[in-house]
Amino acid sequence: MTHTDEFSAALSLAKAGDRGAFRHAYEHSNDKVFRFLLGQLGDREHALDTLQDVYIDLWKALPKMRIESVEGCWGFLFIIARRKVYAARDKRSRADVLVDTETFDFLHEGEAPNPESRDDARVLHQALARVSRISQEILNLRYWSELSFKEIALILGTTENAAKVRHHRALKELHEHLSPTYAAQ
Amino acid sequence: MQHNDHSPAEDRMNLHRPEGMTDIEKMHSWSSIESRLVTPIPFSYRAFLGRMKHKSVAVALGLAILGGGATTAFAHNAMPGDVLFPLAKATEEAQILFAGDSKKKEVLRIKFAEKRLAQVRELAGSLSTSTTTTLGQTTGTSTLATSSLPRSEQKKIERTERALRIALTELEEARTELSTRGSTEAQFIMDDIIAELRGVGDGSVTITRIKSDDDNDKRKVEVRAVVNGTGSSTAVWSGKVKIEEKKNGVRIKIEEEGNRSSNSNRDDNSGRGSDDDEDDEDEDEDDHRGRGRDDDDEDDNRRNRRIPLCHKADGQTLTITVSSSAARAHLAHGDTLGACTQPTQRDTTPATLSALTSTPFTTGVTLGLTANEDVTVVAWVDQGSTVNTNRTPNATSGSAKKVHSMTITGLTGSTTYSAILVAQDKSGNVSTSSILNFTTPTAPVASDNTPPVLVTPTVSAISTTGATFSWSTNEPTKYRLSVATSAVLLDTAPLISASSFALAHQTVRTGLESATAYVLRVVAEDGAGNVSTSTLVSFTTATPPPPSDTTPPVLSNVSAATTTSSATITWSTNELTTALLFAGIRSNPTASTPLSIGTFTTQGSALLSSLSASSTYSYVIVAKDASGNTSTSTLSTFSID
Repeated sequence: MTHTDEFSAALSLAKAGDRGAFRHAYEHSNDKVFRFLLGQLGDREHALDTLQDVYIDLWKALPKMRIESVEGCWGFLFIIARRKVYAARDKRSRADVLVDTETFDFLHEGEAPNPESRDDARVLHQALARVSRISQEILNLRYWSELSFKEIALILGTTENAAKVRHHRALKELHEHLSPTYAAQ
Repeated sequence: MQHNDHSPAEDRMNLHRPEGMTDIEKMHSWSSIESRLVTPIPFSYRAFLGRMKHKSVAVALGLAILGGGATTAFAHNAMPGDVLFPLAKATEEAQILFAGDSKKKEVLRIKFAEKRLAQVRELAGSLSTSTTTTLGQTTGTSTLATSSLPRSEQKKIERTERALRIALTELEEARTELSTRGSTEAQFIMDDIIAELRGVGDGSVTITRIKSDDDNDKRKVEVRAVVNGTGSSTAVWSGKVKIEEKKNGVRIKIEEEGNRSSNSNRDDNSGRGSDDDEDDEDEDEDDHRGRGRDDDDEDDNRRNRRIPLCHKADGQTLTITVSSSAARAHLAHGDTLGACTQPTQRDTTPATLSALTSTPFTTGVTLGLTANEDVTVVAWVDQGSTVNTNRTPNATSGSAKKVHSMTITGLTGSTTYSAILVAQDKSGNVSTSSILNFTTPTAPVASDNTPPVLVTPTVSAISTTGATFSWSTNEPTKYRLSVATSAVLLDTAPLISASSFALAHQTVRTGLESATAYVLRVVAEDGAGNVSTSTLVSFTTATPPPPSDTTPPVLSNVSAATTTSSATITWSTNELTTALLFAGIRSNPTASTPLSIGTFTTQGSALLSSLSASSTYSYVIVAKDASGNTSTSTLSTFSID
């Protein structure tokens, strides 16, 4: 087959044992995977560690992988990532880490240029912590990993339409958890 | 996109998409991943080792490199140039190597140097595996088509170069210290390490990268990075290298020859005027760089923002300044924001104590204290106004913390005590509080569940209408008393109550019916509300006296028997009476002094003597019965012949 997408092309080469291509695939995808892991695990160090496991598993699984579509590649990668998240959560008791304002501001100063924006981000993170697991996952995948509904559907093992419905619900749920003034802004 | 109606939630999700990994994190993650893939990392240090001149250095470096090897190459995220962070494994190896050396300081210095070397090597090793990386070659001028290098590679080169620069600075410092200590052997080793890092000859450090692409694009890439050895030395290089760290990588610019000397400030070394024409943007960036980092556009500025951290390792603290992206990793392993407080000097400032509080209770006291740093606290408490601290403290805090609250028990109520708190910080500095005086409160009465003992009331002074009741209790009580004609009516009978407490009680009840049987009940209640009810006491009110005699006696048979000089007056009454006999010659005998007959009789008689002859006397008898009723006889007369 021909590959119009860098990622699936790189994975095809990597499947044949090409490390350079695998690295390319890594470079191409690590941000999305990392953001997903970060959103799911909430801990940067932990996300970094898990990210490595994800790619090592991907490498191991490559020979078994059928590379048919770009979506399939992303789906395959994120299914591994999702499995890792669940495994990591099992291992670690999911004690909520309380992040004080100062720490939060520090950790997010790169993203948010001003205090208002940081407050805004904090409210969002708090709301995200309250929505259901599946909603959190969908929102992560959709907005932070910037995946298509087709890819999300593959990851969640559902249809594209069902993924859209779930996404819609997740947004609604998130909206409910955002304070009214915040949401109205 | 399905949802075109951008909801606020959606906007927020997009707005606050978290930052991805930093480039260095990506690099390390990849290296870690690659090291765990099936085949080994192809990068080799053989050439590097081969040029070791000094045997011991070779051994040391060999251990550092091989021992560090694949297992520890990425033990830490922080690298020279980013963060000065120990590489634990390599350090251990070096410790083993020099274990026999009695001069511990030297060992540590060399260990430190090796650590830097290892880190530099690590950075170099992270360069693309498809190229050859050589450290320490320095000759020749460079021609570099930097635009042909992938940005990630450029960035790595830049980082390696920066790492070298910092490592060298540190090594030089270490060497100077060894030199002043006269540790020639260690200094010698250090010199070799430095020389190795700097390259042979011209005192600069060069990283030369030669990439040969066999197929088509044959090109020679040589990157020369120049490193200052010490602050005073100058570095010389044959090509100008300008490396800029950008958001998404690094730009390297090479200027044509024109040997240039530079002092230690590497950043100001940016070339001017003869930039390659590879990238127009670069010129602009160049200008920014020329003016210094602070003038960079806002985004870069934020990204490059340096954050002071207190780095903690091996029980020591070190103030370091790292980029915001690296700071995250540091915070994660326990470093704290801001500079360390006197990292190397001993803390000699005792903690400042505030919020000293004493909260006494009847059997003890809770002492509170807040310090401005973590302290352990001991406390002494003595009765009176002075405290003897020359003895075992009454209380000792557990762990060091800022806010302490200690409770000391075993005190006596209503007593004045004094307390002293002594706080010791981690460095052993001691702060002593002022004396805290406090008085324990009076112990509350133990709760009383015992009802009073009530002595059965006695009834006295029983009259026809009332009686006096008396009783006592064994503790002060108040009471409610009721009197009724029968026990069943007691509850509805009017109450006599007293709200004051007393041991002995007496009360009078009036308004009772005469000659009536009553029962009495007393309910005594002590201060705690315990109640005792007396046994029922019966009494009967007095019988009233019979109705009084209001009927006057009836006088009859009043007669007078006369002699020549006397007369005997007799009368009869229908009841026992006393009598008064009034007699006189006048017509109104009652005006005269009466003759009293005080004996109750029904047949009264009185003798009037010494009467005058030929006179007529009149007399009246007033009879009075026991009830005082009187009857007066009609006026009668008699004559004495």
